[in-house]
Amino acid sequence: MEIHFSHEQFQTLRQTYQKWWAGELKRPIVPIVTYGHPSTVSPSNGPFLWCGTAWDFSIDPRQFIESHHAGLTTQRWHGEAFPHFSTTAFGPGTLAAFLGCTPIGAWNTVWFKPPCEDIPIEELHFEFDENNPNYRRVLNLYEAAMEKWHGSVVVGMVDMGGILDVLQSFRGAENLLMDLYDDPDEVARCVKELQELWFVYYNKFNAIMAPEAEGYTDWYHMYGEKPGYILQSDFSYMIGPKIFDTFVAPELASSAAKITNAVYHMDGIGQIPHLDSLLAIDDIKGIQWQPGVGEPEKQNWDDILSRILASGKKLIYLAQKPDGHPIDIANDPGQLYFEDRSWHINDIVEAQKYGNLYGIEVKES
Amino acid sequence: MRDYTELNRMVETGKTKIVKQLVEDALAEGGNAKEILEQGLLPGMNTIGEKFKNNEVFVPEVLIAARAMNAGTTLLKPYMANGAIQAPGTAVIGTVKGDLHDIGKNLVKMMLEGKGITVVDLGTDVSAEQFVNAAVENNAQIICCSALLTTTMPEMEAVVEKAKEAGIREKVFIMIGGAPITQEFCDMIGADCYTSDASSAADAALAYLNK
Repeated sequence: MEIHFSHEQFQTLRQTYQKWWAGELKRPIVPIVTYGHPSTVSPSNGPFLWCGTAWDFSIDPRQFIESHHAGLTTQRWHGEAFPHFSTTAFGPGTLAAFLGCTPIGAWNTVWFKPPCEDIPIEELHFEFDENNPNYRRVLNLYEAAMEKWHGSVVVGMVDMGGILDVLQSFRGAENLLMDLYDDPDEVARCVKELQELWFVYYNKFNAIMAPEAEGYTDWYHMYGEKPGYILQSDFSYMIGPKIFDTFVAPELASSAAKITNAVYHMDGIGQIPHLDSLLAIDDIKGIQWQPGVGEPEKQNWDDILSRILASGKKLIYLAQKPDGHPIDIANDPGQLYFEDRSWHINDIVEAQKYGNLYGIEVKES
Repeated sequence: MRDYTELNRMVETGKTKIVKQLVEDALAEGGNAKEILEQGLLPGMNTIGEKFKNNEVFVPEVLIAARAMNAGTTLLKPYMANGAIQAPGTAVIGTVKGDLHDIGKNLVKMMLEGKGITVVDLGTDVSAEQFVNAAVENNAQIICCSALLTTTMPEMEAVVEKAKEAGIREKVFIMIGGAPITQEFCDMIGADCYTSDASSAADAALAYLNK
Protein backbone atom coordinates (compact mmCIF):
# COMPACT_ATOMS: atom_id res chain seq x y z
CA MET A 1 0.00 0.00 0.00
CA GLU A 2 1.69 3.17 -1.15
CA ILE A 3 -0.88 5.52 0.32
CA HIS A 4 -1.54 4.67 3.92
CA PHE A 5 -5.23 5.35 4.25
CA SER A 6 -7.64 2.46 4.06
CA HIS A 7 -11.25 2.06 3.06
CA GLU A 8 -12.01 1.43 6.73
CA GLN A 9 -10.41 4.71 7.67
CA PHE A 10 -12.64 6.44 5.15
CA GLN A 11 -15.63 4.73 6.74
CA THR A 12 -14.61 6.04 10.13
CA LEU A 13 -14.11 9.50 8.64
CA ARG A 14 -17.60 9.43 7.15
CA GLN A 15 -19.12 8.37 10.47
CA THR A 16 -17.27 11.08 12.36
CA TYR A 17 -18.43 13.75 9.92
CA GLN A 18 -21.99 12.42 10.06
CA LYS A 19 -21.93 12.83 13.84
CA TRP A 20 -20.41 16.29 13.55
CA TRP A 21 -23.01 17.58 11.14
CA ALA A 22 -25.74 16.01 13.29
CA GLY A 23 -24.38 17.79 16.36
CA GLU A 24 -23.52 14.50 18.04
CA LEU A 25 -19.75 14.85 17.98
CA LYS A 26 -18.83 16.69 21.12
CA ARG A 27 -15.48 17.84 19.84
CA PRO A 28 -14.33 19.82 16.80
CA ILE A 29 -13.24 18.35 13.50
CA VAL A 30 -9.47 17.99 14.02
CA PRO A 31 -7.39 17.03 10.97
CA ILE A 32 -3.78 16.12 11.74
CA VAL A 33 -1.16 15.27 9.13
CA THR A 34 2.32 13.93 9.68
CA TYR A 35 4.82 13.88 6.85
CA GLY A 36 8.35 12.69 6.15
CA HIS A 37 7.48 9.00 6.62
CA PRO A 38 9.50 6.39 4.71
CA SER A 39 8.17 5.58 1.26
CA THR A 40 8.83 3.01 -1.44
CA VAL A 41 8.07 5.63 -4.07
CA SER A 42 10.89 7.82 -5.33
CA PRO A 43 10.52 11.49 -4.47
CA SER A 44 9.23 13.59 -7.31
CA ASN A 45 10.94 16.55 -8.89
CA GLY A 46 7.65 17.74 -10.30
CA PRO A 47 6.07 19.32 -12.12
CA PHE A 48 3.76 20.12 -9.25
CA LEU A 49 0.38 21.73 -9.60
CA TRP A 50 0.51 25.40 -8.62
CA CYS A 51 -0.82 28.63 -10.10
CA GLY A 52 2.13 28.97 -12.42
CA THR A 53 1.76 25.48 -13.91
CA ALA A 54 -1.96 24.81 -13.73
CA TRP A 55 -2.70 26.40 -17.09
CA ASP A 56 0.56 25.45 -18.75
CA PHE A 57 -0.81 23.24 -21.49
CA SER A 58 2.62 21.78 -22.18
CA ILE A 59 2.27 19.82 -18.94
CA ASP A 60 0.14 16.71 -19.06
CA PRO A 61 -2.22 16.64 -16.05
CA ARG A 62 -1.04 13.09 -15.33
CA GLN A 63 2.35 14.54 -14.39
CA PHE A 64 0.71 16.58 -11.61
CA ILE A 65 -0.94 13.42 -10.33
CA GLU A 66 2.32 11.48 -10.26
CA SER A 67 4.17 14.28 -8.46
CA HIS A 68 1.45 14.60 -5.87
CA HIS A 69 1.26 10.85 -5.42
CA ALA A 70 4.91 10.68 -4.42
CA GLY A 71 4.30 13.27 -1.72
CA LEU A 72 1.22 11.51 -0.40
CA THR A 73 3.15 8.28 0.13
CA THR A 74 5.25 10.05 2.77
CA GLN A 75 2.21 11.31 4.69
CA ARG A 76 -0.05 9.83 7.34
CA TRP A 77 -3.47 11.14 8.30
CA HIS A 78 -4.93 11.26 11.79
CA GLY A 79 -8.13 12.55 13.29
CA GLU A 80 -10.21 13.89 10.42
CA ALA A 81 -7.35 14.33 7.97
CA PHE A 82 -7.48 12.34 4.76
CA PRO A 83 -5.43 12.09 1.56
CA HIS A 84 -6.57 14.66 -0.93
CA PHE A 85 -5.47 16.46 -4.06
CA SER A 86 -6.19 20.16 -4.13
CA THR A 87 -7.09 21.88 -7.38
CA THR A 88 -7.10 25.41 -6.04
CA ALA A 89 -4.13 26.19 -8.27
CA PHE A 90 -6.49 26.64 -11.20
CA GLY A 91 -7.40 29.89 -9.54
CA PRO A 92 -10.40 31.50 -7.92
CA GLY A 93 -13.36 31.65 -10.26
CA THR A 94 -12.36 29.04 -12.84
CA LEU A 95 -15.89 29.01 -14.22
CA ALA A 96 -14.83 32.16 -16.07
CA ALA A 97 -12.13 30.14 -17.85
CA PHE A 98 -14.63 27.48 -18.89
CA LEU A 99 -16.84 30.18 -20.39
CA GLY A 100 -14.28 32.03 -22.46
CA CYS A 101 -11.90 33.99 -20.25
CA THR A 102 -8.19 33.33 -20.60
CA PRO A 103 -6.50 32.16 -17.39
CA ILE A 104 -3.12 33.76 -16.70
CA GLY A 105 -1.10 32.08 -13.98
CA ALA A 106 0.90 34.23 -11.58
CA TRP A 107 2.96 33.40 -8.52
CA ASN A 108 0.08 32.83 -6.13
CA THR A 109 -3.06 33.55 -8.07
CA VAL A 110 -4.62 33.26 -11.48
CA TRP A 111 -6.12 36.16 -13.39
CA PHE A 112 -8.98 35.64 -15.80
CA LYS A 113 -8.78 37.89 -18.81
CA PRO A 114 -12.08 38.45 -20.63
CA PRO A 115 -12.38 37.64 -24.34
CA CYS A 116 -12.60 41.38 -25.00
CA GLU A 117 -12.80 44.50 -22.85
CA ASP A 118 -16.01 46.23 -21.89
CA ILE A 119 -18.47 43.75 -23.33
CA PRO A 120 -21.88 45.35 -22.73
CA ILE A 121 -23.78 43.33 -20.18
CA GLU A 122 -26.72 42.81 -22.50
CA GLU A 123 -24.35 41.10 -24.95
CA LEU A 124 -23.08 38.63 -22.39
CA HIS A 125 -24.65 35.22 -22.79
CA PHE A 126 -23.16 32.14 -21.26
CA GLU A 127 -23.38 28.63 -22.63
CA PHE A 128 -21.82 25.29 -21.88
CA ASP A 129 -18.97 24.52 -24.26
CA GLU A 130 -17.92 20.90 -24.23
CA ASN A 131 -14.81 21.73 -26.24
CA ASN A 132 -13.52 24.66 -24.24
CA PRO A 133 -9.82 23.80 -23.74
CA ASN A 134 -9.77 25.06 -20.16
CA TYR A 135 -12.71 22.88 -19.25
CA ARG A 136 -11.09 19.94 -21.03
CA ARG A 137 -7.89 20.47 -19.07
CA VAL A 138 -9.61 20.31 -15.69
CA LEU A 139 -11.76 17.41 -16.87
CA ASN A 140 -8.62 15.55 -17.97
CA LEU A 141 -7.08 16.15 -14.57
CA TYR A 142 -10.06 14.59 -12.83
CA GLU A 143 -9.97 11.63 -15.21
CA ALA A 144 -6.25 11.16 -14.62
CA ALA A 145 -6.75 11.35 -10.86
CA MET A 146 -9.45 8.72 -10.92
CA GLU A 147 -7.38 6.49 -13.17
CA LYS A 148 -4.46 6.73 -10.75
CA TRP A 149 -6.19 6.61 -7.39
CA HIS A 150 -9.62 5.12 -8.08
CA GLY A 151 -11.13 7.43 -5.51
CA SER A 152 -8.77 6.56 -2.68
CA VAL A 153 -7.36 10.09 -2.82
CA VAL A 154 -10.11 12.66 -2.62
CA VAL A 155 -9.81 15.19 -5.43
CA GLY A 156 -10.95 18.71 -4.61
CA MET A 157 -13.55 20.53 -6.64
CA VAL A 158 -11.98 23.42 -8.51
CA ASP A 159 -12.62 26.85 -7.09
CA MET A 160 -15.30 27.79 -9.59
CA GLY A 161 -15.90 31.09 -7.85
CA GLY A 162 -18.89 33.03 -6.70
CA ILE A 163 -21.43 33.92 -9.36
CA LEU A 164 -20.82 37.67 -9.27
CA ASP A 165 -17.07 37.01 -9.07
CA VAL A 166 -17.28 35.17 -12.37
CA LEU A 167 -19.45 37.86 -13.93
CA GLN A 168 -16.90 40.41 -12.74
CA SER A 169 -14.23 38.58 -14.75
CA PHE A 170 -16.19 39.36 -17.89
CA ARG A 171 -17.46 42.83 -17.08
CA GLY A 172 -14.76 44.25 -14.86
CA ALA A 173 -15.48 45.21 -11.27
CA GLU A 174 -16.32 48.83 -11.88
CA ASN A 175 -18.67 48.14 -14.76
CA LEU A 176 -20.47 45.44 -12.83
CA LEU A 177 -20.84 47.61 -9.75
CA MET A 178 -22.53 50.25 -11.87
CA ASP A 179 -24.61 47.63 -13.70
CA LEU A 180 -26.24 46.91 -10.36
CA TYR A 181 -27.84 50.35 -10.63
CA ASP A 182 -27.98 50.78 -14.40
CA ASP A 183 -29.03 47.34 -15.62
CA PRO A 184 -30.31 45.33 -12.67
CA ASP A 185 -32.43 43.09 -14.89
CA GLU A 186 -29.42 42.18 -17.02
CA VAL A 187 -27.37 41.44 -13.92
CA ALA A 188 -30.16 39.19 -12.68
CA ARG A 189 -30.27 37.41 -16.05
CA CYS A 190 -26.51 36.83 -16.03
CA VAL A 191 -26.64 35.59 -12.44
CA LYS A 192 -29.31 33.07 -13.43
CA GLU A 193 -27.38 31.85 -16.48
CA LEU A 194 -24.12 31.56 -14.56
CA GLN A 195 -25.68 29.81 -11.60
CA GLU A 196 -27.22 27.18 -13.88
CA LEU A 197 -23.89 26.65 -15.62
CA TRP A 198 -22.03 26.52 -12.33
CA PHE A 199 -24.02 23.42 -11.48
CA VAL A 200 -23.56 21.92 -14.93
CA TYR A 201 -19.78 21.93 -14.42
CA TYR A 202 -20.02 20.99 -10.76
CA ASN A 203 -22.15 17.96 -11.62
CA LYS A 204 -19.93 16.93 -14.52
CA PHE A 205 -16.79 16.94 -12.39
CA ASN A 206 -18.52 15.11 -9.56
CA ALA A 207 -19.88 12.56 -12.01
CA ILE A 208 -16.33 11.59 -12.97
CA MET A 209 -15.52 10.92 -9.35
CA ALA A 210 -18.82 9.37 -8.28
CA PRO A 211 -18.30 5.73 -9.36
CA GLU A 212 -15.30 5.17 -7.09
CA ALA A 213 -15.07 8.18 -4.79
CA GLU A 214 -14.38 7.57 -1.13
CA GLY A 215 -15.65 11.07 -0.66
CA TYR A 216 -15.55 14.62 -1.94
CA THR A 217 -13.87 17.81 -0.98
CA ASP A 218 -13.67 21.38 -2.21
CA TRP A 219 -11.10 24.12 -2.39
CA TYR A 220 -11.12 24.33 1.43
CA HIS A 221 -10.52 20.59 1.92
CA MET A 222 -13.50 19.82 4.13
CA TYR A 223 -14.48 16.20 3.71
CA GLY A 224 -17.89 15.34 2.30
CA GLU A 225 -19.52 11.97 2.01
CA LYS A 226 -21.58 13.54 -0.77
CA PRO A 227 -20.58 16.48 -2.96
CA GLY A 228 -20.42 19.64 -0.90
CA TYR A 229 -18.99 23.06 -1.48
CA ILE A 230 -17.81 26.18 0.24
CA LEU A 231 -19.82 28.88 -1.50
CA GLN A 232 -18.47 32.35 -1.88
CA SER A 233 -19.09 35.81 -3.22
CA ASP A 234 -15.96 37.89 -2.78
CA PHE A 235 -17.55 40.61 -4.90
CA SER A 236 -19.96 41.16 -2.01
CA TYR A 237 -17.14 42.84 -0.11
CA MET A 238 -17.93 45.96 -2.13
CA ILE A 239 -21.70 46.09 -1.92
CA GLY A 240 -24.19 47.00 0.76
CA PRO A 241 -26.82 44.78 2.35
CA LYS A 242 -29.64 45.94 0.09
CA ILE A 243 -27.84 44.92 -3.10
CA PHE A 244 -26.55 41.75 -1.44
CA ASP A 245 -30.09 40.76 -0.51
CA THR A 246 -31.27 41.42 -4.05
CA PHE A 247 -28.56 39.81 -6.14
CA VAL A 248 -26.54 37.49 -3.92
CA ALA A 249 -28.55 36.07 -1.03
CA PRO A 250 -31.26 34.47 -3.21
CA GLU A 251 -28.63 32.84 -5.40
CA LEU A 252 -26.72 31.56 -2.37
CA ALA A 253 -29.91 30.18 -0.84
CA SER A 254 -30.88 28.26 -3.96
CA SER A 255 -27.31 27.03 -4.54
CA ALA A 256 -26.96 25.91 -0.93
CA ALA A 257 -30.22 23.98 -1.24
CA LYS A 258 -28.67 21.89 -4.02
CA ILE A 259 -25.47 21.09 -2.11
CA THR A 260 -24.95 18.78 0.81
CA ASN A 261 -23.79 20.71 3.86
CA ALA A 262 -22.99 23.97 2.09
CA VAL A 263 -20.63 26.36 3.84
CA TYR A 264 -20.11 30.05 3.05
CA HIS A 265 -16.65 31.56 2.76
CA MET A 266 -17.06 34.98 4.35
CA ASP A 267 -13.88 36.70 3.35
CA GLY A 268 -13.10 40.10 4.72
CA ILE A 269 -14.55 42.80 6.89
CA GLY A 270 -16.53 44.13 3.95
CA GLN A 271 -18.77 41.09 4.27
CA ILE A 272 -19.73 41.74 7.88
CA PRO A 273 -22.82 43.78 6.87
CA HIS A 274 -24.14 40.63 5.17
CA LEU A 275 -23.80 38.32 8.14
CA ASP A 276 -27.44 38.49 9.22
CA SER A 277 -28.59 37.67 5.70
CA LEU A 278 -26.20 34.74 5.55
CA LEU A 279 -27.27 33.39 8.91
CA ALA A 280 -30.88 33.52 7.75
CA ILE A 281 -30.16 31.03 4.94
CA ASP A 282 -31.04 27.66 6.48
CA ASP A 283 -29.23 25.58 3.88
CA ILE A 284 -25.92 27.26 4.63
CA LYS A 285 -24.76 24.97 7.39
CA GLY A 286 -21.51 26.67 8.29
CA ILE A 287 -19.65 29.95 7.97
CA GLN A 288 -15.96 30.23 7.32
CA TRP A 289 -14.99 33.62 8.68
CA GLN A 290 -11.72 35.00 7.40
CA PRO A 291 -10.91 38.62 8.27
CA GLY A 292 -9.17 39.21 4.96
CA VAL A 293 -5.75 40.25 3.80
CA GLY A 294 -4.22 42.86 6.06
CA GLU A 295 -6.76 42.48 8.83
CA PRO A 296 -5.16 41.20 12.01
CA GLU A 297 -6.24 37.62 12.53
CA LYS A 298 -5.70 37.85 16.25
CA GLN A 299 -7.97 40.83 16.57
CA ASN A 300 -10.96 40.09 18.70
CA TRP A 301 -13.64 38.89 16.35
CA ASP A 302 -15.74 37.48 19.21
CA ASP A 303 -18.82 39.42 18.17
CA ILE A 304 -18.76 37.90 14.68
CA LEU A 305 -17.91 34.44 15.93
CA SER A 306 -20.58 34.57 18.65
CA ARG A 307 -23.25 35.51 16.16
CA ILE A 308 -22.29 32.58 13.96
CA LEU A 309 -22.26 30.16 16.88
CA ALA A 310 -25.56 31.48 18.28
CA SER A 311 -27.19 30.74 14.92
CA GLY A 312 -26.39 27.06 15.41
CA LYS A 313 -24.26 26.93 12.27
CA LYS A 314 -20.81 25.44 12.20
CA LEU A 315 -17.86 27.78 12.55
CA ILE A 316 -15.00 27.09 10.21
CA TYR A 317 -11.59 28.65 10.91
CA LEU A 318 -10.55 31.10 13.63
CA ALA A 319 -12.12 28.73 16.12
CA GLN A 320 -8.93 27.70 17.84
CA LYS A 321 -6.56 29.27 20.32
CA PRO A 322 -2.82 29.01 19.64
CA ASP A 323 -2.50 26.28 22.28
CA GLY A 324 -4.85 24.08 20.28
CA HIS A 325 -7.93 24.48 22.46
CA PRO A 326 -11.25 25.80 21.17
CA ILE A 327 -11.97 29.50 21.51
CA ASP A 328 -13.51 30.45 24.83
CA ILE A 329 -16.82 31.60 23.42
CA ALA A 330 -17.61 28.20 21.95
CA ASN A 331 -20.03 26.54 24.36
CA ASP A 332 -20.26 23.54 22.09
CA PRO A 333 -16.89 22.55 20.62
CA GLY A 334 -18.85 20.29 18.29
CA GLN A 335 -19.75 23.37 16.27
CA LEU A 336 -16.13 23.97 15.36
CA TYR A 337 -13.87 22.93 12.52
CA PHE A 338 -10.13 23.31 12.84
CA GLU A 339 -7.76 23.68 9.96
CA ASP A 340 -5.27 20.93 9.08
CA ARG A 341 -2.22 20.94 11.30
CA SER A 342 0.86 19.11 10.13
CA TRP A 343 4.11 17.96 11.72
CA HIS A 344 7.21 16.31 10.36
CA ILE A 345 7.68 12.76 11.63
CA ASN A 346 10.67 13.99 13.64
CA ASP A 347 8.28 16.14 15.67
CA ILE A 348 5.62 13.52 16.12
CA VAL A 349 5.57 14.02 19.88
CA GLU A 350 4.11 17.47 19.28
CA ALA A 351 1.50 15.99 16.98
CA GLN A 352 0.64 13.40 19.61
CA LYS A 353 0.30 16.05 22.31
CA TYR A 354 -2.07 17.97 20.07
CA GLY A 355 -4.04 14.84 19.23
CA ASN A 356 -4.34 13.97 22.92
CA LEU A 357 -6.28 17.19 23.50
CA TYR A 358 -9.10 15.59 21.52
CA GLY A 359 -8.56 11.91 22.19
CA ILE A 360 -7.03 11.38 18.77
CA GLU A 361 -4.30 8.81 18.52
CA VAL A 362 -1.37 9.85 16.34
CA LYS A 363 0.55 6.71 15.43
CA GLU A 364 4.17 6.74 14.41
CA SER A 365 3.74 4.74 11.24
CA MET B 1 -25.13 82.87 -4.09
CA ARG B 2 -27.33 80.22 -5.70
CA ASP B 3 -28.83 77.43 -3.66
CA TYR B 4 -26.95 74.28 -4.58
CA THR B 5 -28.74 71.95 -2.18
CA GLU B 6 -30.50 70.05 -4.96
CA LEU B 7 -27.34 69.70 -7.04
CA ASN B 8 -25.46 68.43 -3.98
CA ARG B 9 -28.15 65.86 -3.38
CA MET B 10 -28.26 64.71 -6.99
CA VAL B 11 -24.49 64.20 -7.06
CA GLU B 12 -24.67 62.29 -3.80
CA THR B 13 -27.38 59.98 -5.12
CA GLY B 14 -25.71 59.53 -8.49
CA LYS B 15 -28.41 61.04 -10.68
CA THR B 16 -26.25 61.82 -13.69
CA LYS B 17 -28.92 63.16 -16.03
CA ILE B 18 -30.35 65.52 -13.42
CA VAL B 19 -26.88 66.72 -12.44
CA LYS B 20 -26.15 67.59 -16.07
CA GLN B 21 -29.42 69.42 -16.36
CA LEU B 22 -28.88 71.38 -13.16
CA VAL B 23 -25.35 72.37 -14.19
CA GLU B 24 -26.57 73.41 -17.65
CA ASP B 25 -29.35 75.45 -16.05
CA ALA B 26 -26.92 77.10 -13.69
CA LEU B 27 -24.56 78.02 -16.53
CA ALA B 28 -27.43 79.27 -18.69
CA GLU B 29 -28.50 81.52 -15.87
CA GLY B 30 -25.04 83.02 -15.74
CA GLY B 31 -23.77 80.93 -12.89
CA ASN B 32 -20.08 81.03 -12.09
CA ALA B 33 -18.26 77.82 -13.08
CA LYS B 34 -15.94 77.91 -10.08
CA GLU B 35 -18.89 78.33 -7.76
CA ILE B 36 -20.88 75.55 -9.45
CA LEU B 37 -17.92 73.23 -9.05
CA GLU B 38 -17.00 74.16 -5.51
CA GLN B 39 -20.49 74.67 -4.10
CA GLY B 40 -22.55 72.40 -6.30
CA LEU B 41 -20.54 69.35 -7.32
CA LEU B 42 -17.66 68.75 -4.92
CA PRO B 43 -19.72 68.90 -1.69
CA GLY B 44 -21.97 66.10 -2.96
CA MET B 45 -18.92 63.95 -3.56
CA ASN B 46 -17.45 64.88 -0.19
CA THR B 47 -20.66 63.84 1.52
CA ILE B 48 -20.64 60.46 -0.19
CA GLY B 49 -16.97 60.09 0.77
CA GLU B 50 -17.79 60.64 4.42
CA LYS B 51 -20.69 58.23 4.27
CA PHE B 52 -18.43 55.66 2.62
CA LYS B 53 -15.88 56.08 5.38
CA ASN B 54 -18.62 55.47 7.94
CA ASN B 55 -20.01 52.41 6.12
CA GLU B 56 -23.28 54.18 5.41
CA VAL B 57 -22.88 53.65 1.67
CA PHE B 58 -20.80 51.18 -0.32
CA VAL B 59 -18.70 51.08 -3.48
CA PRO B 60 -21.51 51.13 -6.08
CA GLU B 61 -22.98 54.26 -4.51
CA VAL B 62 -19.58 55.95 -4.64
CA LEU B 63 -19.16 54.99 -8.28
CA ILE B 64 -22.46 56.39 -9.42
CA ALA B 65 -21.91 59.57 -7.41
CA ALA B 66 -18.50 60.02 -9.02
CA ARG B 67 -19.99 59.46 -12.44
CA ALA B 68 -22.62 62.11 -11.78
CA MET B 69 -19.98 64.55 -10.55
CA ASN B 70 -17.82 63.91 -13.60
CA ALA B 71 -20.78 64.55 -15.89
CA GLY B 72 -21.13 67.92 -14.23
CA THR B 73 -17.43 68.79 -14.30
CA THR B 74 -17.26 67.89 -18.00
CA LEU B 75 -19.77 70.64 -18.70
CA LEU B 76 -17.63 73.07 -16.73
CA LYS B 77 -14.38 72.28 -18.51
CA PRO B 78 -14.71 74.99 -21.22
CA TYR B 79 -15.03 77.52 -18.41
CA MET B 80 -12.08 76.09 -16.52
CA ALA B 81 -9.70 76.41 -19.45
CA ASN B 82 -9.36 80.12 -18.98
CA GLY B 83 -7.71 79.57 -15.65
CA ALA B 84 -10.70 80.59 -13.61
CA ILE B 85 -10.47 77.38 -11.69
CA GLN B 86 -7.10 76.15 -10.49
CA ALA B 87 -6.78 72.55 -9.40
CA PRO B 88 -5.06 72.26 -6.02
CA GLY B 89 -2.52 69.94 -7.58
CA THR B 90 -1.86 66.82 -9.62
CA ALA B 91 -1.59 63.19 -8.54
CA VAL B 92 -0.53 60.18 -10.54
CA ILE B 93 -2.17 56.98 -9.42
CA GLY B 94 -1.92 53.31 -10.24
CA THR B 95 -1.93 49.74 -8.98
CA VAL B 96 1.60 48.44 -8.65
CA LYS B 97 3.29 45.98 -10.96
CA GLY B 98 2.01 42.41 -10.78
CA ASP B 99 -1.36 43.45 -9.39
CA LEU B 100 -4.45 43.82 -11.56
CA HIS B 101 -6.91 44.91 -8.88
CA ASP B 102 -8.31 48.31 -9.64
CA ILE B 103 -11.34 49.10 -7.53
CA GLY B 104 -9.43 50.47 -4.55
CA LYS B 105 -7.29 52.57 -6.85
CA ASN B 106 -10.36 53.82 -8.70
CA LEU B 107 -12.08 54.78 -5.48
CA VAL B 108 -9.10 56.87 -4.42
CA LYS B 109 -9.04 58.45 -7.86
CA MET B 110 -12.69 59.41 -7.55
CA MET B 111 -12.23 60.82 -4.08
CA LEU B 112 -9.21 62.85 -5.22
CA GLU B 113 -11.24 64.21 -8.12
CA GLY B 114 -13.94 64.96 -5.60
CA LYS B 115 -11.44 67.33 -3.97
CA GLY B 116 -10.75 68.97 -7.31
CA ILE B 117 -7.32 67.40 -7.65
CA THR B 118 -6.18 66.55 -11.19
CA VAL B 119 -5.57 62.82 -11.43
CA VAL B 120 -3.46 60.96 -13.98
CA ASP B 121 -4.59 57.35 -13.88
CA LEU B 122 -1.89 54.90 -14.94
CA GLY B 123 -4.16 51.87 -14.55
CA THR B 124 -3.01 48.55 -13.12
CA ASP B 125 0.25 46.57 -13.28
CA VAL B 126 2.25 49.82 -13.21
CA SER B 127 6.02 49.63 -12.82
CA ALA B 128 7.99 51.89 -10.50
CA GLU B 129 9.56 53.53 -13.51
CA GLN B 130 6.15 54.30 -15.02
CA PHE B 131 5.00 55.94 -11.78
CA VAL B 132 8.06 58.16 -11.62
CA ASN B 133 8.10 59.02 -15.30
CA ALA B 134 4.44 60.01 -15.16
CA ALA B 135 5.06 62.15 -12.10
CA VAL B 136 7.86 63.98 -13.92
CA GLU B 137 5.91 64.40 -17.15
CA ASN B 138 2.83 65.76 -15.40
CA ASN B 139 4.61 67.82 -12.74
CA ALA B 140 2.70 65.81 -10.19
CA GLN B 141 3.06 66.61 -6.52
CA ILE B 142 1.65 63.25 -5.45
CA ILE B 143 2.17 59.61 -6.38
CA CYS B 144 -0.52 57.19 -5.17
CA CYS B 145 0.27 53.47 -5.22
CA SER B 146 -2.29 50.76 -4.60
CA ALA B 147 -1.83 47.02 -3.97
CA LEU B 148 -4.16 44.27 -2.88
CA LEU B 149 -1.72 41.39 -2.92
CA THR B 150 0.92 40.88 -0.26
CA THR B 151 3.23 39.65 -3.01
CA THR B 152 3.09 42.96 -4.87
CA MET B 153 3.62 45.21 -1.85
CA PRO B 154 7.41 45.33 -2.36
CA GLU B 155 6.81 47.20 -5.61
CA MET B 156 5.86 50.20 -3.51
CA GLU B 157 9.35 50.34 -2.09
CA ALA B 158 10.65 50.24 -5.65
CA VAL B 159 8.61 53.36 -6.39
CA VAL B 160 10.21 55.17 -3.45
CA GLU B 161 13.67 54.09 -4.60
CA LYS B 162 12.99 55.02 -8.22
CA ALA B 163 11.83 58.48 -7.14
CA LYS B 164 15.14 58.91 -5.31
CA GLU B 165 17.11 57.79 -8.36
CA ALA B 166 15.21 60.25 -10.55
CA GLY B 167 15.95 63.06 -8.12
CA ILE B 168 12.30 63.87 -7.43
CA ARG B 169 11.90 62.24 -4.03
CA GLU B 170 11.78 65.58 -2.18
CA LYS B 171 9.24 66.97 -4.63
CA VAL B 172 6.64 64.21 -4.50
CA PHE B 173 4.42 63.01 -1.71
CA ILE B 174 4.22 59.23 -2.01
CA MET B 175 0.98 57.77 -0.73
CA ILE B 176 0.28 54.05 -0.44
CA GLY B 177 -2.82 52.03 0.30
CA GLY B 178 -4.65 48.74 -0.16
CA ALA B 179 -5.89 45.93 2.04
CA PRO B 180 -2.52 44.45 3.09
CA ILE B 181 -0.82 47.81 3.65
CA THR B 182 -0.17 49.13 7.15
CA GLN B 183 1.38 52.22 8.68
CA GLU B 184 4.34 50.08 9.75
CA PHE B 185 4.92 49.04 6.16
CA CYS B 186 4.67 52.65 5.03
CA ASP B 187 7.28 53.68 7.58
CA MET B 188 9.51 50.76 6.69
CA ILE B 189 9.70 51.55 2.97
CA GLY B 190 10.00 55.29 3.49
CA ALA B 191 6.72 56.30 1.85
CA ASP B 192 5.06 59.49 3.08
CA CYS B 193 1.51 58.53 3.84
CA TYR B 194 -0.74 55.55 4.41
CA THR B 195 -4.48 55.76 4.81
CA SER B 196 -6.88 52.93 5.38
CA ASP B 197 -9.67 54.17 3.13
CA ALA B 198 -10.17 56.17 -0.04
CA SER B 199 -11.86 59.12 1.56
CA SER B 200 -9.06 59.60 4.08
CA ALA B 201 -6.55 59.34 1.25
CA ALA B 202 -8.20 62.26 -0.51
CA ASP B 203 -8.26 64.26 2.72
CA ALA B 204 -4.55 63.60 3.24
CA ALA B 205 -3.71 64.51 -0.34
CA LEU B 206 -5.56 67.79 -0.14
CA ALA B 207 -4.00 68.61 3.23
CA TYR B 208 -0.56 68.06 1.70
CA LEU B 209 -1.32 70.23 -1.31
CA ASN B 210 -2.70 73.01 0.87
CA LYS B 211 0.35 73.08 3.13
